[in-house]
Amino acid sequence: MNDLRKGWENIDEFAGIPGIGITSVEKFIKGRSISIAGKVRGFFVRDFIFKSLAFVFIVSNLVLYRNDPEIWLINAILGVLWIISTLLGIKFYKEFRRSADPARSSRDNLSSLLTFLRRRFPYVAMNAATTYVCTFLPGILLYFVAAYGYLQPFSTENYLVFSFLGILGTVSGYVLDIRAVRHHIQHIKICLSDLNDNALALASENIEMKRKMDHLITILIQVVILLLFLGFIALFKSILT
Amino acid sequence: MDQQRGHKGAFIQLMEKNRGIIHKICLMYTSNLADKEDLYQEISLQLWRSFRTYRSESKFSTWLYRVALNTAISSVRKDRKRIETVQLGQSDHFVGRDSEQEGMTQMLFKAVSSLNKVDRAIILLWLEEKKYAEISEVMGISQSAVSVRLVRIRERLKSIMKNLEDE
Repeated sequence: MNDLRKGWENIDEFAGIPGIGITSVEKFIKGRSISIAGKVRGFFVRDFIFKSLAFVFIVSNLVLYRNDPEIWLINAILGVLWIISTLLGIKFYKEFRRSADPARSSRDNLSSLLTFLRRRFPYVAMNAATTYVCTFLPGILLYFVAAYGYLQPFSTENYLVFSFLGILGTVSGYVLDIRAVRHHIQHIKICLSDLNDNALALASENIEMKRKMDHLITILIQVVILLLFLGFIALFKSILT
Repeated sequence: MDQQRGHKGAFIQLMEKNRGIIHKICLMYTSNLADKEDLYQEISLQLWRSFRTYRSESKFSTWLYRVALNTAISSVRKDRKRIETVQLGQSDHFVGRDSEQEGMTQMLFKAVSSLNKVDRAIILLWLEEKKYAEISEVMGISQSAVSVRLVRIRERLKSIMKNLEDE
């Protein structure tokens, strides 16, 4: 096996790759990530971008619809939802940063990343779906006031189309996000299994314990989101009819 | 601002000093130059992010290997279609090189590329002449597990390389 080490020592490891300078560091920071942690971080960044957009829409509506108390109220409620969603997003992001710390041992790093993706990511995706509601509804309201100067009365057809688009966007956003991490979860599980048979078993046990605790919270959040959404539809309908 | 600049300067120094090992890790986990560049960037990015919170609680080399290897292990390729067409060991890292050592090195990489990502990390640390204690600290498994794994991996590599020599 000494031949292996000899071969290793003689590798021309710099073949084809330039050195690194400050500009390169900055380029790396802006670049697209290929690691699982980087991809999940990208998901958070995208969500925060959409949240910023939603913030602009909501604030614009609060100003533009200041003489229309009912529409103003809808935006104020969406604003409250936005604040809750943003605070949750920050909380989840902090939790993710702790889970994805690469300066720990491989086993700890993979285990905590797996736990985060399986236990927390569904809430993260749900929170991102809330961002869609906060962007979509104020976006439509803003469009009407920008295009016509006032909120056009909705026909039943309009009402159905917009409700359908709202629900479709929220649900499909959630489902797509969950599907996107499934592949990453599989990748980590394989690595953990390769690392140590016990590592995966321990991680699974940990996840199972926390899963039960989180199950109740999931149901409660789903009920709250559903009630909020139904409340919005009812409020919207009562205003527009 | 000065602190930030000093931080960046220290990081650049760190990268210059250790780029050899980062390149070797990239070689170990990729099979073409494009993937190698992507992984090099990713590792550099992760090192940069972690560098700001490095508190010298562990040995510097342990910290570096942890960040670099964890990033390599959890990386996924950009181009999924290309994965299916790349043959293990058909690496373009060595294109254009012409030395006796090249055959040996090519063969070593062919053999190593058939190992799973975790075993690649363990053998890389062994090739870098790291002690079992440090390998154990980087990987998060016991020293006895490292010892057993290394015996298995080396046996496997020997057998693969023997087969390659016979071909």
